[in-house]
Amino acid sequence: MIFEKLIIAVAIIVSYFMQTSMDFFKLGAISPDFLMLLTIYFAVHRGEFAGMWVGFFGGLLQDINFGTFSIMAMGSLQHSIGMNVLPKSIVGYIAGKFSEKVRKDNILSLVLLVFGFSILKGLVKLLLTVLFSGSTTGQAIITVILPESLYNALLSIVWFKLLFWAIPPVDLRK
Amino acid sequence: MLAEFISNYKAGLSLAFAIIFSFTNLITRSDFVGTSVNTATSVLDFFTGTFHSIGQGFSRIVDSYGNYNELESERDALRKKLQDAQFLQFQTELLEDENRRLRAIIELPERKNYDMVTAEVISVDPDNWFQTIIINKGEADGIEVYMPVIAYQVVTVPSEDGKTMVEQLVHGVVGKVIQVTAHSARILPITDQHSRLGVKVKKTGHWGLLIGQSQDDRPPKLEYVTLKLNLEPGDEIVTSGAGGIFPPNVNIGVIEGEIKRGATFQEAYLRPAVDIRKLNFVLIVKKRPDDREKLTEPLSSPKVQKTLQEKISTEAMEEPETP
Repeated sequence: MIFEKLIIAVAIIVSYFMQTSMDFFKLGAISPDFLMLLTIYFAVHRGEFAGMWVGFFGGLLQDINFGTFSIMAMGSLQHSIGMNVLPKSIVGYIAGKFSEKVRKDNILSLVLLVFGFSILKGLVKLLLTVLFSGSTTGQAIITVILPESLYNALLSIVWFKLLFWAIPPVDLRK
Repeated sequence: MLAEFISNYKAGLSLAFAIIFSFTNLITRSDFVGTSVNTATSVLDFFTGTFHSIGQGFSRIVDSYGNYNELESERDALRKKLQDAQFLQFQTELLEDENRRLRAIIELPERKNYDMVTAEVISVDPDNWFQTIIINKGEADGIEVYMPVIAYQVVTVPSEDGKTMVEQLVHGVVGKVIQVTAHSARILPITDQHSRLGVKVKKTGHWGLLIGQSQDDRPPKLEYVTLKLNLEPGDEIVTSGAGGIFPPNVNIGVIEGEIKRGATFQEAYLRPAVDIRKLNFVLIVKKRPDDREKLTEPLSSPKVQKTLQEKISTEAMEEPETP
């Protein structure tokens, strides 16, 4: 049990470092959200409880990377804990709820699931950014959310196979 | 009973906890969480930096494998450049001395020379919503919030005859420091959608506002430039020094593409002198803002908006200066 939790922690940390330190996966200005892919993978294979907590800690790590901006230089950019925690937790939970209806051996259904939940994560984050950070626009749907979701979906074809090999699925609800 | 309830609804309760946790932090931005998180940030930056360095070192080994001849010629070229730079430094020192004496004769205040700190870029943002850059120098190295950041970069440009490509060393503004921990700092680059920078057109001195356009994945846009000036592609844009953060006349980039002339102002996109996505090292200018108090005021506040509007109106009324 402890070993399994350790594996999950390592998976979160590795995903986080791949997201922050690897320019290799960058396509133009867009990077894939490895933590998001990990969240959906756990949600699909281990249910909403695991998905929610993987999303929570993945988002927390991202938020900690940003830190809190308390004084802003000539602008309204503000950031604090929660901006990534909430969208990823919600996605982890809802994806887990959906997991029973998804055919896990069907690549297309997984790709569509990743695409849909990446859009959902983007929209929740857009809402939070508008409410608490101030200065983003609806344009982000076209320039950030859609390309990122598409990239996540395409990458999930390979990435989920890799995760399947590294962390074999265990359905904890059974 | 309670244990059974928790066990039955553990996923839902977990989500409720995540929602309450997130909203509490987002709404209160409590100092306790902020302090703890900033400590954690500096620890995380250390590991991110180490991981990034290992990754970069590995890439360099792979890139340089089998290219010894290229490396040798590059070394010779760099030796030559070093000699030229040493000669240039000698000449600069002579000119600086002469300039200092001449300024003293005509009673002009002495020109300020700021110390600079070189820092390595250790990480970029972990998502696509912000474009900030994290560097490996922080409070311990004298870095403070609002310090300006510039960079030197070697770019390949067409030669004068246009037949060959030559390497050229360019410098330009990167952005400003917006967050500092003990051994790392975060820079808001001029390309980020949250960036606003007071600039001027080098040839005439007319003012404008440079606004980051990362939300559209475009270069920064120069706005609020008076119609009295004939803005053209290739015009150099430098810092105005008016915001109090940047020293004046630091190179930013050149105007590129179509210039849009509106009813009262004109606007155009700017090609930054340095490619911010390819930075390995940056220089932090150890300059404190001229008026730190003003900078804590959010840009959206009515007071700042009023001042900005007044400044722009005055600028529009002014006659164009002769180049």
